[in-house]
Amino acid sequence: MNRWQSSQPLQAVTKGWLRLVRLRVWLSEHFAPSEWQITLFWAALVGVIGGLSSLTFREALSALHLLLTNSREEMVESFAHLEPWQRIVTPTLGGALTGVILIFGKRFAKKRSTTDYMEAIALGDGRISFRTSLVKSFAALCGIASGASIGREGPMVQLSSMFASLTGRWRKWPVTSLRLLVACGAAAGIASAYNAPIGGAFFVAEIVLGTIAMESLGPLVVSAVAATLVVRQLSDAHNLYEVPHFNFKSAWEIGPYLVVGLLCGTLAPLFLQTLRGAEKLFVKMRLPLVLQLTLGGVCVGLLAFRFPAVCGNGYSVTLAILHGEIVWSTLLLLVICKCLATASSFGSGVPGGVFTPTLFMGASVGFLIGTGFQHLWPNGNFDPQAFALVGMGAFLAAASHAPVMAIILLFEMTLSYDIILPLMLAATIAYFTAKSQMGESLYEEFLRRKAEHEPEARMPEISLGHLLRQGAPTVLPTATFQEICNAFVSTRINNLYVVDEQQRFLGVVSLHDIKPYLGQPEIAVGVLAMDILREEFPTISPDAGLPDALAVFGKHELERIPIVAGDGSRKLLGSLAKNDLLVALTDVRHQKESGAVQVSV
Amino acid sequence: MPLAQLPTLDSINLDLHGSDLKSVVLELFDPMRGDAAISNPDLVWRDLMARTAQGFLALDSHVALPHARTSGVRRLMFAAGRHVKGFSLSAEASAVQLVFLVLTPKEKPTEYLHMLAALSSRLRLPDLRAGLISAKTQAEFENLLDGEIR
Repeated sequence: MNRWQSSQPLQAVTKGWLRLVRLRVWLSEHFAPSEWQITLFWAALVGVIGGLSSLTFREALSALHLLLTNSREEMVESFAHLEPWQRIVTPTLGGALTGVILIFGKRFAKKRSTTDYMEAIALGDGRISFRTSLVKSFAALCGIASGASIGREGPMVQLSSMFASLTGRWRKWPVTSLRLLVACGAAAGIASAYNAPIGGAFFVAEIVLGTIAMESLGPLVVSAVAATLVVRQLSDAHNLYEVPHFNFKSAWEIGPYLVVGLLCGTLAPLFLQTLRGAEKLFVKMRLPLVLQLTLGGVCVGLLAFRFPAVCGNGYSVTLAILHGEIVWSTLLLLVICKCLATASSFGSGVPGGVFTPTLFMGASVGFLIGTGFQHLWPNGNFDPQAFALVGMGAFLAAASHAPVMAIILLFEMTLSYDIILPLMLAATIAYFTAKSQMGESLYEEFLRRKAEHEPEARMPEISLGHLLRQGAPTVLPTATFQEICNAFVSTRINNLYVVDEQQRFLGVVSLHDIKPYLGQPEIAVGVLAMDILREEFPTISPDAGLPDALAVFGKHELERIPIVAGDGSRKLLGSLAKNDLLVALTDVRHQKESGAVQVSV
Repeated sequence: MPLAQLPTLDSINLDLHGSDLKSVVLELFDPMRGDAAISNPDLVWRDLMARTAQGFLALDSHVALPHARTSGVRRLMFAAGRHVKGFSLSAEASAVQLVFLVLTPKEKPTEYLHMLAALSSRLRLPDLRAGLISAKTQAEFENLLDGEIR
């Protein structure tokens, strides 16, 4: 039976839909966000979530610390006010508690999965386990709050990255975009931990992604800025290390700073070797995890018995060094004890970071060198505090193998512009000195070991299949004009895919084609998708290489192309976004350079 | 707003007398079968019937616009016809008196929309519609369509 369409009510309904489509086209032409803008939006959202999660962790840490030490002060001050026996018992109990949480957490976490953000970004598919991350963060909370000599920024970055991973998975983002979003989460975590958005973005770009291409750096910056704004809005955040004003009076002063660079470049690898050595030692002892962490806590406690300043991440002591509130002889002893305490906490397996302890080591080394020069050359007008500041950047550059990040982060955390010249020089020299001694940084070594010991964690290769975005809206060839309009209104697409009953790709209905006729509702009634279908539309197979896909985007001005089965069936599998492809190509270039994964291009 | 352009009529029949859409469309299509622009008349007919089975456009139930997008034509083809008595598309509908047949090549998806826009923008005018229905000769019908639409 023939169908014909001309009734007035139907036309009235169609008219309404056409108005919506016209509005959608107008909005699309005037305010249409590109794929990049959408990525930046989600990066900002991930930044906000990262900032909130960091604040929550910080508050939880303060609450637990209050419970354990009955003090609201910083870690070192709290421990200084504890009875000597309490200084031993608190980290010991904290270590035991951390172990118990990790053991019981294994049951809660169900199965083995990626928990580390670096692994998820550089080696994995961007997925970070929610349950395991919670367990790890809770364990870190107990360890850090009880005085472990480890950085709290690690769990903050972990939590922020995990929420980013969840967001990307909820949005069903393909692997490369998911990894970029997790990287945004990591940048947000660092930025909110250190109140340093530029440093946070560059840390992830330089150390984790290995590239500062705008395709990846842009979202990282947006995310880091969003996180920092959240933290500044909701807390009394300020630049982390308030330092006295320094004057760089003479070009000759640069000489001693070269020594800072050389020594930091030499000592940073030794510091990292100490951490690795401690880790190996604990593994050799083959203790049950709870005992292992308890032993780590005992070591920290014994050191804290004499030097409470070894507890925590070393932030307040670093601040004291920068303000010249510590004498060199005390510091010399403290730096050795702190190194041992950090090795105990890190080696026994307390989840946390070594970023802030590294800054402490650098400040100590710099201060001691500055004091040495002051004694050797009393008229030289050397300021050990300025040396401490430069030492922080140099030590960080040497340990992380990321001098750009170290320079930026130090500048951002101190907001001391006068220190930039010696800092840049010392960080560069420290980096090259460390690199000649130790081929890889702590982070590089971690990723290499992961890749070696857990080959299943490695991404086998990046192909179009990994970039495939599912859920592209489709219509049948018999879809009415109203159904087509409905699809264009409800999703932000310019080409609507037309498939048959077997999901075979037939072509597209282009918004551009129907746009001139949206003002005539009477013609819309009776028009079907098959009437206005563009059959000559580029497609690509999931087996094709990334350069092939790039060539297709080069020939056609499209934001997305459909991916159809390569077996001749032309079954629609999903779509490939140009944005995802560009990010993947950036990834591939980095991976080929670093040899991190096998890549098929 | 400038008026949309229409192509030259390939066929015109002011004396349609079929009792249903299929026979009326056949009356319009048959004279075009031998046209050089039609590479495969049987295919065109099959595509036309298949498309009509899916539904077709009618303006105010007095004007029918059957259409097919087919690889059997080399260019857009356009035929017009008048049914003096009128024929019904359904029991409750009023009689259709004007029929415009549009055949478009597969590779030009926007031509159909362009044609529909050009036709509907004019056929909504009651005077023109009345003039087409009462035209005494093909030339008058064509001139009226020419003058008003082109």
